[in-house]
Amino acid sequence: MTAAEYRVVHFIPNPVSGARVPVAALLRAEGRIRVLSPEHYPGAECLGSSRAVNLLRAIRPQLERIDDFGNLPESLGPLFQLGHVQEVAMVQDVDTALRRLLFPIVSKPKIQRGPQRARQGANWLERNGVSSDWIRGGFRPADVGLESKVKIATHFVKGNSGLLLMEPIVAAARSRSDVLGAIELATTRLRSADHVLNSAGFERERGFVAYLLPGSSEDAADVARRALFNFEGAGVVECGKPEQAVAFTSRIRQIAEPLTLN
Amino acid sequence: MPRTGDDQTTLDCSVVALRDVAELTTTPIRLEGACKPKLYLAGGQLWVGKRLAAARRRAEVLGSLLGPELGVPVPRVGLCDSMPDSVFSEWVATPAHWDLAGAGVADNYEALGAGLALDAVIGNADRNPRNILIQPLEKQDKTHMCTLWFIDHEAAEAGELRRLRGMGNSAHPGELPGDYPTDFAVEQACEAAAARAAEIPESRIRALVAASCGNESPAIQNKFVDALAERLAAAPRIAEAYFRKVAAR
Repeated sequence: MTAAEYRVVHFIPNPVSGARVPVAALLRAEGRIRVLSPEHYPGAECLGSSRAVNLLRAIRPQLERIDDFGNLPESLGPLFQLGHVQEVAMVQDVDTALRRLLFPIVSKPKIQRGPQRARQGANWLERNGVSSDWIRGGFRPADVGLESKVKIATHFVKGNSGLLLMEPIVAAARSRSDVLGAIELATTRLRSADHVLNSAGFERERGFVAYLLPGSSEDAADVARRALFNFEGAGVVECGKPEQAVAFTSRIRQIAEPLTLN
Repeated sequence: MPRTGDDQTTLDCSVVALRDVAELTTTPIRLEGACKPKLYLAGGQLWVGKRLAAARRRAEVLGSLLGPELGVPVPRVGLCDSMPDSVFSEWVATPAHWDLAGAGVADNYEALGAGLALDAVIGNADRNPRNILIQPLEKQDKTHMCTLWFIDHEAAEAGELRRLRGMGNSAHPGELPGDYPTDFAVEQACEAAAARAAEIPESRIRALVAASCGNESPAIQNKFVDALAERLAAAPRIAEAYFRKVAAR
Protein backbone atom coordinates (compact mmCIF):
# COMPACT_ATOMS: atom_id res chain seq x y z
CA MET A 1 0.00 0.00 0.00
CA THR A 2 1.44 3.40 -0.93
CA ALA A 3 1.31 6.37 1.35
CA ALA A 4 -0.13 9.81 0.90
CA GLU A 5 1.12 12.94 2.60
CA TYR A 6 -0.65 15.84 4.19
CA ARG A 7 0.17 19.19 5.77
CA VAL A 8 -2.17 21.11 8.02
CA VAL A 9 -2.72 24.82 7.40
CA HIS A 10 -2.71 26.57 10.75
CA PHE A 11 -4.26 29.94 11.49
CA ILE A 12 -2.76 31.95 14.36
CA PRO A 13 -5.35 34.64 15.05
CA ASN A 14 -3.54 36.05 18.06
CA PRO A 15 0.25 36.35 17.86
CA VAL A 16 0.49 36.92 21.60
CA SER A 17 -1.25 33.71 22.66
CA GLY A 18 0.21 31.88 19.68
CA ALA A 19 -2.64 29.35 19.57
CA ARG A 20 -2.86 27.53 16.25
CA VAL A 21 -6.22 26.71 14.73
CA PRO A 22 -6.28 24.12 11.92
CA VAL A 23 -8.28 25.64 9.07
CA ALA A 24 -7.39 23.41 6.12
CA ALA A 25 -5.11 20.59 5.07
CA LEU A 26 -3.22 19.91 1.88
CA LEU A 27 -3.33 16.28 0.83
CA ARG A 28 -0.83 14.99 -1.73
CA ALA A 29 -1.93 11.64 -3.07
CA GLU A 30 -1.62 9.93 -6.44
CA GLY A 31 0.26 12.89 -7.85
CA ARG A 32 -2.47 15.39 -7.04
CA ILE A 33 -2.88 18.01 -4.35
CA ARG A 34 -6.27 18.38 -2.80
CA VAL A 35 -7.40 20.86 -0.17
CA LEU A 36 -9.45 19.54 2.72
CA SER A 37 -11.51 22.08 4.60
CA PRO A 38 -13.69 21.85 7.68
CA GLU A 39 -17.40 22.23 7.27
CA HIS A 40 -17.41 25.18 9.66
CA TYR A 41 -14.78 27.52 11.00
CA PRO A 42 -14.62 28.42 14.69
CA GLY A 43 -16.52 31.50 15.78
CA ALA A 44 -15.38 34.82 17.17
CA GLU A 45 -15.49 33.56 20.78
CA CYS A 46 -12.89 30.95 19.91
CA LEU A 47 -10.75 33.02 17.53
CA GLY A 48 -10.82 36.12 19.69
CA SER A 49 -12.34 38.64 17.29
CA SER A 50 -14.85 39.12 14.53
CA ARG A 51 -11.97 40.34 12.37
CA ALA A 52 -10.40 36.90 12.59
CA VAL A 53 -13.67 35.25 11.56
CA ASN A 54 -13.99 37.69 8.68
CA LEU A 55 -10.42 37.04 7.63
CA LEU A 56 -11.04 33.30 7.50
CA ARG A 57 -14.21 33.82 5.51
CA ALA A 58 -12.42 36.15 3.10
CA ILE A 59 -9.46 33.91 2.42
CA ARG A 60 -11.42 30.65 2.20
CA PRO A 61 -11.49 30.78 -1.64
CA GLN A 62 -7.72 31.28 -1.66
CA LEU A 63 -7.25 28.37 0.72
CA GLU A 64 -9.35 26.11 -1.45
CA ARG A 65 -7.32 27.00 -4.55
CA ILE A 66 -3.92 26.10 -3.07
CA ASP A 67 -1.99 23.85 -5.43
CA ASP A 68 1.49 24.11 -3.95
CA PHE A 69 2.39 21.54 -1.30
CA GLY A 70 5.50 23.47 -0.23
CA ASN A 71 4.32 27.03 0.25
CA LEU A 72 1.24 29.01 1.04
CA PRO A 73 0.22 31.92 -1.21
CA GLU A 74 1.90 35.12 -0.08
CA SER A 75 -1.44 36.90 0.01
CA LEU A 76 -2.53 34.85 3.03
CA GLY A 77 -0.17 36.89 5.16
CA PRO A 78 1.81 35.99 8.27
CA LEU A 79 -1.00 34.46 10.31
CA PHE A 80 -1.19 31.28 8.24
CA GLN A 81 1.44 28.58 8.49
CA LEU A 82 1.98 25.18 6.98
CA GLY A 83 2.52 22.31 9.40
CA HIS A 84 5.03 19.52 8.97
CA VAL A 85 4.64 16.87 6.30
CA GLN A 86 2.84 13.85 7.72
CA GLU A 87 2.37 10.51 6.02
CA VAL A 88 -0.96 8.76 5.99
CA ALA A 89 -1.77 5.29 4.67
CA MET A 90 -3.36 5.41 1.24
CA VAL A 91 -6.77 3.96 1.87
CA GLN A 92 -9.79 4.10 -0.36
CA ASP A 93 -11.33 7.56 -0.24
CA VAL A 94 -8.42 8.93 1.73
CA ASP A 95 -9.85 12.48 1.46
CA THR A 96 -12.94 11.64 3.43
CA ALA A 97 -11.04 9.60 5.98
CA LEU A 98 -8.48 12.32 6.60
CA ARG A 99 -11.07 15.08 6.67
CA ARG A 100 -12.99 13.14 9.30
CA LEU A 101 -9.84 12.78 11.40
CA LEU A 102 -8.74 16.38 11.07
CA PHE A 103 -12.10 18.11 11.11
CA PRO A 104 -14.61 15.82 12.78
CA ILE A 105 -18.18 16.86 12.29
CA VAL A 106 -19.51 18.08 15.58
CA SER A 107 -23.22 18.07 16.19
CA LYS A 108 -24.54 21.23 17.73
CA PRO A 109 -23.93 20.84 21.44
CA LYS A 110 -26.95 20.76 23.70
CA ILE A 111 -26.69 23.16 26.57
CA GLN A 112 -26.02 21.07 29.64
CA ARG A 113 -27.94 22.43 32.57
CA GLY A 114 -26.95 21.39 36.04
CA PRO A 115 -29.44 21.19 38.88
CA GLN A 116 -31.32 24.42 39.39
CA ARG A 117 -30.44 26.68 42.28
CA ALA A 118 -33.52 25.62 44.27
CA ARG A 119 -32.78 21.93 43.73
CA GLN A 120 -29.17 22.38 44.84
CA GLY A 121 -30.32 24.18 47.95
CA ALA A 122 -32.88 21.49 48.76
CA ASN A 123 -30.27 18.78 48.19
CA TRP A 124 -27.92 20.42 50.65
CA LEU A 125 -30.62 20.80 53.26
CA GLU A 126 -31.63 17.14 52.94
CA ARG A 127 -28.03 15.98 53.20
CA ASN A 128 -27.75 17.96 56.43
CA GLY A 129 -30.65 16.42 58.22
CA VAL A 130 -33.47 18.69 57.13
CA SER A 131 -36.44 16.57 56.22
CA SER A 132 -37.89 17.26 52.79
CA ASP A 133 -41.28 17.31 54.54
CA TRP A 134 -40.29 20.49 56.37
CA ILE A 135 -39.10 22.47 53.41
CA ARG A 136 -41.64 23.75 50.94
CA GLY A 137 -40.72 25.16 47.56
CA GLY A 138 -41.84 28.46 46.09
CA PHE A 139 -43.22 30.69 48.82
CA ARG A 140 -46.37 32.57 47.82
CA PRO A 141 -48.19 34.99 50.13
CA ALA A 142 -51.20 32.67 49.77
CA ASP A 143 -49.19 30.12 51.77
CA VAL A 144 -49.76 32.28 54.87
CA GLY A 145 -53.31 33.25 54.14
CA LEU A 146 -52.64 36.37 52.10
CA GLU A 147 -54.04 37.07 48.66
CA SER A 148 -51.22 36.87 46.15
CA LYS A 149 -50.28 33.59 44.52
CA VAL A 150 -47.11 34.99 42.98
CA LYS A 151 -43.99 33.08 44.01
CA ILE A 152 -41.71 35.46 45.90
CA ALA A 153 -39.10 33.24 47.58
CA THR A 154 -37.36 30.01 46.59
CA HIS A 155 -38.35 27.96 49.61
CA PHE A 156 -39.62 28.30 53.13
CA VAL A 157 -40.38 26.55 56.35
CA LYS A 158 -43.51 27.40 58.32
CA GLY A 159 -44.36 26.46 61.86
CA ASN A 160 -46.12 27.61 64.98
CA SER A 161 -43.12 29.64 65.96
CA GLY A 162 -42.85 31.54 62.71
CA LEU A 163 -41.93 31.63 59.10
CA LEU A 164 -38.50 31.41 57.52
CA LEU A 165 -37.96 32.35 53.87
CA MET A 166 -34.77 31.07 52.25
CA GLU A 167 -32.79 31.84 49.14
CA PRO A 168 -29.93 29.52 48.16
CA ILE A 169 -26.89 31.01 46.44
CA VAL A 170 -24.70 28.76 44.31
CA ALA A 171 -21.14 30.05 44.16
CA ALA A 172 -18.98 27.02 43.36
CA ALA A 173 -17.52 26.83 39.84
CA ARG A 174 -19.00 30.14 38.82
CA SER A 175 -17.36 33.36 37.79
CA ARG A 176 -17.23 36.24 40.22
CA SER A 177 -19.66 38.27 38.15
CA ASP A 178 -22.10 35.33 38.09
CA VAL A 179 -21.83 34.97 41.86
CA LEU A 180 -22.43 38.67 42.37
CA GLY A 181 -25.48 38.39 40.14
CA ALA A 182 -26.76 35.43 42.15
CA ILE A 183 -26.28 37.32 45.42
CA GLU A 184 -28.12 40.33 44.09
CA LEU A 185 -30.99 38.14 42.90
CA ALA A 186 -31.28 36.29 46.20
CA THR A 187 -31.07 39.32 48.46
CA THR A 188 -33.41 41.37 46.31
CA ARG A 189 -35.99 38.60 46.42
CA LEU A 190 -35.78 38.47 50.22
CA ARG A 191 -36.21 42.24 50.53
CA SER A 192 -39.14 42.13 48.10
CA ALA A 193 -40.74 39.31 50.04
CA ASP A 194 -40.45 41.29 53.26
CA HIS A 195 -42.02 44.28 51.56
CA VAL A 196 -44.91 42.19 50.25
CA LEU A 197 -45.55 40.67 53.68
CA ASN A 198 -45.42 44.06 55.38
CA SER A 199 -47.75 45.61 52.83
CA ALA A 200 -50.22 42.78 53.33
CA GLY A 201 -50.23 43.32 57.06
CA PHE A 202 -48.57 40.02 57.92
CA GLU A 203 -47.69 40.34 61.58
CA ARG A 204 -46.30 36.98 62.59
CA GLU A 205 -42.65 36.49 63.31
CA ARG A 206 -40.57 35.79 60.22
CA GLY A 207 -36.98 35.46 59.23
CA PHE A 208 -35.04 35.64 55.97
CA VAL A 209 -31.91 33.68 55.10
CA ALA A 210 -29.63 33.90 52.11
CA TYR A 211 -27.53 30.75 52.34
CA LEU A 212 -24.35 30.33 50.38
CA LEU A 213 -23.84 26.72 49.40
CA PRO A 214 -20.38 25.22 50.02
CA GLY A 215 -17.67 26.44 47.70
CA SER A 216 -18.33 30.12 48.15
CA SER A 217 -15.66 32.57 49.20
CA GLU A 218 -15.43 34.89 52.20
CA ASP A 219 -15.72 37.69 49.72
CA ALA A 220 -19.09 36.42 48.49
CA ALA A 221 -20.38 36.18 52.06
CA ASP A 222 -19.27 39.76 52.75
CA VAL A 223 -21.04 40.97 49.63
CA ALA A 224 -24.21 39.15 50.67
CA ARG A 225 -24.04 40.61 54.19
CA ARG A 226 -23.64 44.09 52.79
CA ALA A 227 -26.62 43.49 50.51
CA LEU A 228 -28.74 42.62 53.55
CA PHE A 229 -27.44 45.49 55.65
CA ASN A 230 -30.16 47.17 57.72
CA PHE A 231 -32.61 44.40 56.83
CA GLU A 232 -34.12 43.34 60.14
CA GLY A 233 -34.59 39.61 60.56
CA ALA A 234 -32.35 38.74 57.63
CA GLY A 235 -29.05 36.90 57.73
CA VAL A 236 -26.44 35.17 55.68
CA VAL A 237 -25.38 31.57 56.24
CA GLU A 238 -22.17 30.14 54.89
CA CYS A 239 -22.99 26.46 54.55
CA GLY A 240 -19.33 25.57 54.18
CA LYS A 241 -18.75 26.58 57.81
CA PRO A 242 -19.93 23.74 60.07
CA GLU A 243 -21.02 25.91 63.02
CA GLN A 244 -23.14 28.14 60.76
CA ALA A 245 -24.54 25.11 58.92
CA VAL A 246 -25.58 23.41 62.17
CA ALA A 247 -27.17 26.59 63.54
CA PHE A 248 -29.08 27.04 60.29
CA THR A 249 -30.46 23.50 60.14
CA SER A 250 -31.32 23.64 63.86
CA ARG A 251 -33.27 26.81 63.29
CA ILE A 252 -35.24 25.17 60.50
CA ARG A 253 -35.91 22.16 62.68
CA GLN A 254 -37.14 24.36 65.54
CA ILE A 255 -39.62 26.08 63.32
CA ALA A 256 -40.78 23.00 61.47
CA GLU A 257 -40.95 20.20 64.05
CA PRO A 258 -44.04 21.32 65.95
CA LEU A 259 -45.81 21.52 62.63
CA THR A 260 -44.88 18.00 61.59
CA LEU A 261 -45.84 16.66 65.04
CA ASN A 262 -49.30 18.00 64.48
CA MET B 1 7.75 69.38 23.52
CA PRO B 2 6.41 65.85 24.02
CA ARG B 3 2.76 65.52 24.80
CA THR B 4 1.35 62.67 26.83
CA GLY B 5 -0.77 60.01 25.17
CA ASP B 6 -2.92 57.36 26.82
CA ASP B 7 -0.24 54.82 27.43
CA GLN B 8 2.91 56.16 25.87
CA THR B 9 4.38 59.54 25.21
CA THR B 10 3.56 60.86 21.76
CA LEU B 11 6.12 63.19 20.23
CA ASP B 12 5.39 65.85 17.68
CA CYS B 13 4.30 64.35 14.37
CA SER B 14 2.81 61.34 16.19
CA VAL B 15 5.93 59.30 16.81
CA VAL B 16 5.13 57.18 19.85
CA ALA B 17 7.94 57.12 22.40
CA LEU B 18 7.94 53.53 23.59
CA ARG B 19 9.09 52.44 27.01
CA ASP B 20 9.76 48.96 28.32
CA VAL B 21 9.84 47.25 24.95
CA ALA B 22 9.98 43.46 25.24
CA GLU B 23 10.42 41.09 22.34
CA LEU B 24 7.61 38.56 22.01
CA THR B 25 9.80 35.49 21.86
CA THR B 26 7.07 32.89 22.29
CA THR B 27 5.02 33.72 19.23
CA PRO B 28 4.96 31.21 16.39
CA ILE B 29 4.50 34.09 13.91
CA ARG B 30 7.50 34.65 11.69
CA LEU B 31 7.47 37.93 9.83
CA GLU B 32 9.21 38.12 6.49
CA GLY B 33 11.48 40.92 5.43
CA ALA B 34 15.10 41.65 4.69
CA CYS B 35 15.54 43.44 8.02
CA LYS B 36 14.11 40.49 10.01
CA PRO B 37 11.17 42.22 11.68
CA LYS B 38 10.11 40.88 15.06
CA LEU B 39 7.12 41.31 17.32
CA TYR B 40 7.41 43.35 20.51
CA LEU B 41 5.12 44.22 23.39
CA ALA B 42 5.11 47.80 24.63
CA GLY B 43 2.52 49.81 26.46
CA GLY B 44 -0.09 47.08 26.20
CA GLN B 45 0.21 47.04 22.41
CA LEU B 46 1.84 44.77 19.90
CA TRP B 47 4.48 46.33 17.67
CA VAL B 48 6.61 45.18 14.76
CA GLY B 49 10.20 46.23 15.32
CA LYS B 50 13.06 46.38 12.84
CA ARG B 51 16.73 47.20 13.34
CA LEU B 52 17.66 49.56 10.55
CA ALA B 53 20.67 51.49 9.36
CA ALA B 54 20.39 55.26 9.81
CA ALA B 55 19.19 56.10 6.28
CA ARG B 56 16.60 53.33 6.31
CA ARG B 57 15.45 54.39 9.76
CA ARG B 58 14.94 57.94 8.51
CA ALA B 59 13.05 56.65 5.48
CA GLU B 60 10.81 54.43 7.61
CA VAL B 61 9.87 57.20 10.03
CA LEU B 62 9.48 59.79 7.30
CA GLY B 63 7.20 57.51 5.26
CA SER B 64 5.18 56.63 8.35
CA LEU B 65 4.64 60.29 9.24
CA LEU B 66 4.19 61.69 5.76
CA GLY B 67 1.73 58.96 4.81
CA PRO B 68 -1.13 60.16 7.03
CA GLU B 69 -0.53 63.76 5.82
CA LEU B 70 -1.31 62.53 2.32
CA GLY B 71 -4.23 60.31 3.35
CA VAL B 72 -2.31 57.05 3.31
CA PRO B 73 -3.34 54.62 6.06
CA VAL B 74 -0.12 53.86 7.90
CA PRO B 75 0.12 52.20 11.34
CA ARG B 76 1.49 54.35 14.16
CA VAL B 77 5.26 54.50 14.31
CA GLY B 78 7.27 54.27 17.50
CA LEU B 79 10.82 54.77 18.70
CA CYS B 80 12.46 53.59 21.87
CA ASP B 81 15.43 55.24 23.58
CA SER B 82 16.82 51.93 24.76
CA MET B 83 16.76 50.51 21.20
CA PRO B 84 17.93 53.50 19.15
CA ASP B 85 18.64 51.45 16.02
CA SER B 86 15.08 50.16 15.79
CA VAL B 87 11.85 51.54 14.40
CA PHE B 88 8.52 50.13 15.56
CA SER B 89 5.27 50.00 13.69
CA GLU B 90 2.01 49.20 15.45
CA TRP B 91 0.78 45.70 14.66
CA VAL B 92 -2.28 45.60 12.43
CA ALA B 93 -4.52 42.88 13.85
CA THR B 94 -5.44 39.94 11.56
CA PRO B 95 -3.63 41.14 8.46
CA ALA B 96 -3.53 39.49 5.06
CA HIS B 97 -1.30 40.64 2.24
CA TRP B 98 -2.18 42.30 -1.04
CA ASP B 99 -5.02 40.72 -2.96
CA LEU B 100 -6.88 42.65 -5.62
CA ALA B 101 -10.21 41.08 -4.72
CA GLY B 102 -9.77 42.18 -1.12
CA ALA B 103 -8.65 45.68 -2.09
CA GLY B 104 -11.76 46.02 -4.25
CA VAL B 105 -14.01 45.82 -1.19
CA ALA B 106 -11.87 48.02 1.04
CA ASP B 107 -13.52 50.93 2.81
CA ASN B 108 -10.50 53.08 1.94
CA TYR B 109 -9.99 52.04 -1.68
CA GLU B 110 -8.84 55.57 -2.55
CA ALA B 111 -5.81 54.97 -0.36
CA LEU B 112 -4.39 53.08 -3.33
CA GLY B 113 -4.02 56.42 -5.10
CA ALA B 114 -2.63 58.19 -2.07
CA GLY B 115 -0.16 55.33 -1.64
CA LEU B 116 1.16 55.91 -5.15
CA ALA B 117 1.65 59.60 -4.41
CA LEU B 118 3.53 58.79 -1.21
CA ASP B 119 5.81 56.29 -2.91
CA ALA B 120 6.50 58.73 -5.73
CA VAL B 121 7.44 61.50 -3.32
CA ILE B 122 9.70 59.44 -1.06
CA GLY B 123 11.06 57.26 -3.88
CA ASN B 124 9.86 53.92 -2.55
CA ALA B 125 10.30 51.10 -5.06
CA ASP B 126 9.60 48.43 -2.46
CA ARG B 127 5.79 48.50 -2.38
CA ASN B 128 5.68 44.73 -2.80
CA PRO B 129 2.53 42.66 -2.00
CA ARG B 130 3.71 42.09 1.57
CA ASN B 131 3.80 45.83 2.20
CA ILE B 132 0.12 46.40 1.53
CA LEU B 133 -1.98 44.86 4.25
CA ILE B 134 -5.61 43.97 3.94
CA GLN B 135 -7.34 43.93 7.29
CA PRO B 136 -10.89 42.58 7.57
CA LEU B 137 -13.30 45.00 9.19
CA GLU B 138 -14.70 44.12 12.58
CA LYS B 139 -18.17 44.85 11.20
CA GLN B 140 -18.54 44.26 7.51
CA ASP B 141 -21.39 45.61 5.43
CA LYS B 142 -22.74 45.06 1.93
CA THR B 143 -20.07 47.12 0.24
CA HIS B 144 -17.04 47.14 2.51
CA MET B 145 -15.27 44.17 4.00
CA CYS B 146 -11.76 45.32 4.79
CA THR B 147 -9.41 48.22 5.12
CA LEU B 148 -6.00 48.80 3.54
CA TRP B 149 -2.75 49.61 5.32
CA PHE B 150 0.59 50.62 3.85
CA ILE B 151 3.66 49.47 5.74
CA ASP B 152 7.45 49.34 5.33
CA HIS B 153 8.91 52.48 3.83
CA GLU B 154 12.50 51.88 4.88
CA ALA B 155 13.71 51.27 1.33
CA ALA B 156 12.65 54.74 0.22
CA GLU B 157 15.38 56.91 -1.23
CA ALA B 158 14.24 59.89 0.83
CA GLY B 159 16.13 58.51 3.81
CA GLU B 160 19.37 59.62 2.23
CA LEU B 161 19.91 63.34 1.68
CA ARG B 162 21.89 62.93 -1.53
CA ARG B 163 19.21 60.74 -3.09
CA LEU B 164 16.36 62.89 -1.81
CA ARG B 165 17.91 65.85 -3.59
CA GLY B 166 18.58 64.06 -6.86
CA MET B 167 15.53 61.89 -7.34
CA GLY B 168 13.64 63.95 -9.89
CA ASN B 169 11.01 61.80 -11.54
CA SER B 170 13.04 58.63 -11.11
CA ALA B 171 10.65 56.87 -8.69
CA HIS B 172 10.08 53.36 -9.95
CA PRO B 173 7.19 50.97 -9.24
CA GLY B 174 9.65 48.17 -8.47
CA GLU B 175 7.76 45.25 -6.96
CA LEU B 176 4.38 46.99 -6.89
CA PRO B 177 1.79 44.23 -7.48
CA GLY B 178 1.18 43.73 -11.18
CA ASP B 179 -2.58 43.94 -10.72
CA TYR B 180 -2.43 47.22 -8.78
CA PRO B 181 -5.42 49.21 -10.07
CA THR B 182 -4.98 52.48 -11.94
CA ASP B 183 -8.62 53.31 -12.49
CA PHE B 184 -10.15 56.76 -12.37
CA ALA B 185 -10.72 56.70 -8.61
CA VAL B 186 -7.11 55.76 -7.94
CA GLU B 187 -5.85 58.43 -10.33
CA GLN B 188 -8.01 61.09 -8.71
CA ALA B 189 -6.90 60.05 -5.24
CA CYS B 190 -3.27 60.13 -6.33
CA GLU B 191 -3.70 63.67 -7.65
CA ALA B 192 -5.48 64.80 -4.49
CA ALA B 193 -2.81 63.34 -2.24
CA ALA B 194 -0.06 64.98 -4.25
CA ALA B 195 -1.88 68.30 -4.02
CA ARG B 196 -2.07 67.87 -0.24
CA ALA B 197 1.66 67.13 -0.17
CA ALA B 198 2.38 70.38 -1.98
CA GLU B 199 0.43 72.31 0.62
CA ILE B 200 2.24 71.02 3.69
CA PRO B 201 3.61 74.13 5.43
CA GLU B 202 7.29 74.48 6.22
CA SER B 203 6.67 74.27 9.94
CA ARG B 204 5.15 70.85 9.41
CA ILE B 205 8.02 69.80 7.19
CA ARG B 206 10.45 70.83 9.94
CA ALA B 207 8.52 68.74 12.43
CA LEU B 208 8.58 65.75 10.07
CA VAL B 209 12.33 66.09 9.61
CA ALA B 210 12.93 66.59 13.34
CA ALA B 211 11.03 63.40 14.08
CA SER B 212 12.74 61.33 11.41
CA CYS B 213 16.24 62.83 11.50
CA GLY B 214 16.38 63.70 15.18
CA ASN B 215 19.90 62.38 15.60
CA GLU B 216 21.35 64.57 12.88
CA SER B 217 22.97 67.95 13.42
CA PRO B 218 20.81 71.05 12.92
CA ALA B 219 22.73 71.84 9.74
CA ILE B 220 21.95 68.43 8.23
CA GLN B 221 18.35 68.68 9.37
CA ASN B 222 18.04 72.04 7.63
CA LYS B 223 19.32 70.48 4.44
CA PHE B 224 16.74 67.72 4.77
CA VAL B 225 14.05 70.35 5.30
CA ASP B 226 15.08 72.19 2.15
CA ALA B 227 15.26 69.03 0.06
CA LEU B 228 11.97 67.66 1.34
CA ALA B 229 10.22 71.01 0.89
CA GLU B 230 11.38 71.12 -2.70
CA ARG B 231 10.26 67.55 -3.26
CA LEU B 232 6.83 68.14 -1.75
CA ALA B 233 6.32 71.32 -3.73
CA ALA B 234 6.87 69.26 -6.88
CA ALA B 235 4.66 66.40 -5.66
CA PRO B 236 1.83 66.90 -8.21
CA ARG B 237 4.23 66.61 -11.14
CA ILE B 238 6.21 63.73 -9.56
CA ALA B 239 3.06 61.78 -8.64
CA GLU B 240 1.54 62.23 -12.09
CA ALA B 241 4.70 60.91 -13.76
CA TYR B 242 4.78 57.98 -11.34
CA PHE B 243 1.12 57.17 -11.91
CA ARG B 244 1.75 57.05 -15.67
CA LYS B 245 4.61 54.64 -15.12
CA VAL B 246 2.41 52.37 -13.02
CA ALA B 247 -0.48 52.54 -15.50
CA ALA B 248 1.79 51.78 -18.42
CA ARG B 249 3.15 48.54 -17.00
